[in-house]
Amino acid sequence: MTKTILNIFLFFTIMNTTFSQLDRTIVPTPKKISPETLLKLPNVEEIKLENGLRILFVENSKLPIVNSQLVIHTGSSIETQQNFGIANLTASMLDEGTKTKSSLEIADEIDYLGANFSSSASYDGIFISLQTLKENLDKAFEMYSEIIFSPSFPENDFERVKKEILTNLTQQKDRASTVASLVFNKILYKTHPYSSQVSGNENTVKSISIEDVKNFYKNYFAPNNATLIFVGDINKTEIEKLVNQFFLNWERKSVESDCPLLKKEMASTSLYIVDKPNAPQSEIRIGHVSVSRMTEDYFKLMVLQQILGSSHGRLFLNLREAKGYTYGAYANFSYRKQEGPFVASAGVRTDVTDSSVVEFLYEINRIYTELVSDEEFEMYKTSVLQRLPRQFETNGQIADYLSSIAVYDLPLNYFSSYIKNIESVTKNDILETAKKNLHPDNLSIVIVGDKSKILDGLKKLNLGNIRICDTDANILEDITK
Amino acid sequence: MKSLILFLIIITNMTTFSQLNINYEKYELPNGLQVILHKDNSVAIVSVNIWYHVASANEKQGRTGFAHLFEHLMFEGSQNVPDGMYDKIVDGSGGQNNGSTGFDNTNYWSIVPKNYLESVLWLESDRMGFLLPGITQDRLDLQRDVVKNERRQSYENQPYGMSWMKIYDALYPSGVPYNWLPIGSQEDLTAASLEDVKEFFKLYYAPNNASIVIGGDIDIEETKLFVEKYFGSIPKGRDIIRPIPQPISLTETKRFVLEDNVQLPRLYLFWHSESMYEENDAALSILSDILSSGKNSRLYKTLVYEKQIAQDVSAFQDGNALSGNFGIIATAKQDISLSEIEKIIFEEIEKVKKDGITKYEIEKAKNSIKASFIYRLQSLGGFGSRTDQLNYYNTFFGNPGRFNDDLKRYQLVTENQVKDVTNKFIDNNKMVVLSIVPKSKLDLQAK
Repeated sequence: MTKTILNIFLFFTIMNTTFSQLDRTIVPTPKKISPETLLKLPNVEEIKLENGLRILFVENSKLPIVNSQLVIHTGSSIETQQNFGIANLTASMLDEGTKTKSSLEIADEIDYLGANFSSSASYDGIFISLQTLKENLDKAFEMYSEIIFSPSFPENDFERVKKEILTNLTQQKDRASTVASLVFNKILYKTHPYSSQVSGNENTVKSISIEDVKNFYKNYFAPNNATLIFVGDINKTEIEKLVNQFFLNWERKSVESDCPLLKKEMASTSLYIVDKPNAPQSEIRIGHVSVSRMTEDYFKLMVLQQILGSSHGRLFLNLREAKGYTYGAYANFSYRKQEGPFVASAGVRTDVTDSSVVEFLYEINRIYTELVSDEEFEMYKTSVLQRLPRQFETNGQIADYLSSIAVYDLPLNYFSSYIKNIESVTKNDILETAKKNLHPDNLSIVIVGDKSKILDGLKKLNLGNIRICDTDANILEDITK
Repeated sequence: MKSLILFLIIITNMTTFSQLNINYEKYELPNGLQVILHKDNSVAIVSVNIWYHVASANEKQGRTGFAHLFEHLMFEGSQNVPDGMYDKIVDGSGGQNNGSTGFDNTNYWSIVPKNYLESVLWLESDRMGFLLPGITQDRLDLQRDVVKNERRQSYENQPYGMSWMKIYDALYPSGVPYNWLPIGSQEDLTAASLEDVKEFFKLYYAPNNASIVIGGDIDIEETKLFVEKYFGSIPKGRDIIRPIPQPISLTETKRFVLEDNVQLPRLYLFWHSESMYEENDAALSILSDILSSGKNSRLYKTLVYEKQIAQDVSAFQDGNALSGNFGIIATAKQDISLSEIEKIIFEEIEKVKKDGITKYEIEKAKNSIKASFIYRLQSLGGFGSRTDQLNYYNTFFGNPGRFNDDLKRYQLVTENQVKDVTNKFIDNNKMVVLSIVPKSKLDLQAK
């Protein structure tokens, strides 16, 4: 009896020993699963109203949450030197008062329902969003509609909101990374609306009146210039009921909203320094005007961006992992209706500012002149192919995708063709698209840092003209090489 | 969703309380590793989330920032995983990964397509069991540089960036946990040696000091076999002596001022309060909402909306494992004196102390809290996600499914309790006051 038990023990001991001798040098190979299987795409449906309003929705009843987003297809890119910031001001004023409720009453009502409301502008549109529990949908949506259709734009609240925006603009100057991006955009886009940030500048915001905001609202808030999005625990019948109640009588009107066309000029590489005495880091931005969202190279550039600028891309591996110059280095293309910027960026230790610029240029030139290796290419491409599932998890994420479909007029089946489009990108495409869309001789390099410590090193790089700017990109001094 | 939903959430309004039921299964390996499995096959991804019960509270003076520096080294390769391979597998799969170090715990997570689950468990187990052969002096030096850059970027070169160090240093005596921030000091980072790395790893990065949550589109039985295969043979470590709460209190109000490259003055008021889940933690949280959450909250309405002397204001109860603090931070508009801001904050606090709060206010706060509990169940992986919350509840309370219980303690708070905690904790004779003012505008500080 004892022996049997011992034998059993022995047996288990052997089992365990075999088990613990797992060969850890063997890298597990993932089972092959087609990207199509991995990606459970949300089913996008569409309703079109007589008044021109387009409705896009995805039903997702996993949690009792409903998200809604109204997209107005006019944003800050129609602004002029005189009224930069008006789209943003209009968006900010929507929940500051309606025909029946004050600013504080609106806030209370939304908070009491546990709902979240936000309203913001981008270059390409205004986005008015609501998130609510299903059980409060009717009440929350009624408030939401009142905000959209009956804003009263009270003068007092307008002055307060303006003051808040102006104070924010002042505060931004504290942050080196923000200053670097703002100066970079100004240098790239000169007088075009993309030269300004969406919230405008101190002069323009000061000069905008409540009448201007009312006019903006009157001119651009129209069903035929809008898309309404629903995502979450809501079905078609429920959507139709809400829409019939609140959106059916919205009257169509003619809307003109054209952004001035961008004249793309390629200047030769120059360097701009904004002095920040005693800064422990230099904030670097390098790039040029690039492509619009409508570019035919979109999918190729997506893979290129992954190789060059992602969080384990070449710039990151070089400047952070190999050299230890920075906490992170990245590059990306900003897609808008017109040509957005390509920008590579990092905050680097002051004493390696010039060396960091050298590495940035090395990596931009490398992808521009050399084919990527097979191993790198496969890894980065798979990464782009397979990252989609986790980007369709929350209602908010899905709503954002629907709004990009609306804003850039993409087909409803856009994501089902995504896989095919990425799969067809080749190694040669990366080199070709780099040659076509990157311009290593036409870079604007902006650095916010301690001039007294970085200027000499930067001069030695012989990169072109060096100019010293203030935080508004006004040139203070022109230093010839 | 047409697919089979195993991720279950029931919400009932029959009573005052909402019911949140998240499915999970918990067990422990003989080496002490706690394993929690959570199945949700609505998205074809898997989240692997590991918490080690160690962080800056376990550090010694002179080696501050070490737990966080160590977190960086965890991504630099281990015995069988060459440097760079972790990112190559996780990012290369289309996945995402990150880690973070706080006062009480260090966490690591990755989200990958479901077929990469075994790969991630191989990676995680190799660095849990066999990290040291991968760590060389060069790697340590390099990550030390990266962390120092992180400190420059997130603190030194940030407006108001040095505030937190000052506040925690003022609240907690030297040598006591929480006196320093997880980022540590540049000096201590320089001093960290390879020997420190080895000691720290041997003691704290053992299976008996960790819990792993695996969630998403998994097969429970297959996942259990993987866990056994990769983690089963990692030896148990020594018992760990956890830092114990120290009786700490302020005997008087301490005032500090810092000049910074900023345009607007900012006021920080801090009190010792209670740790996470302590008796008054929930009531203090509700107090913070009533003070600063929403346009019609008391401080926001007075300072930002009506008087327009502040640009923003926020109040919060921050309960950590050993102790907690309550804070109010307000940014003044240009050239507004912080004394004026402080005076008005206390006028509002006095009203709560004397007259309490309304039924409407507490209901509003509770409704928002309930909704936020549900909103944050949306993501499977990443910071603050479902798998992260399961691990939070498990690490600190040994019970991964504490969602309901957590929500319930907020729903039970009464108006009177909120009034009482204000009287008990928010004392203007025992607080830390920090003024950050623009260079050469010392006259704007709170006196």
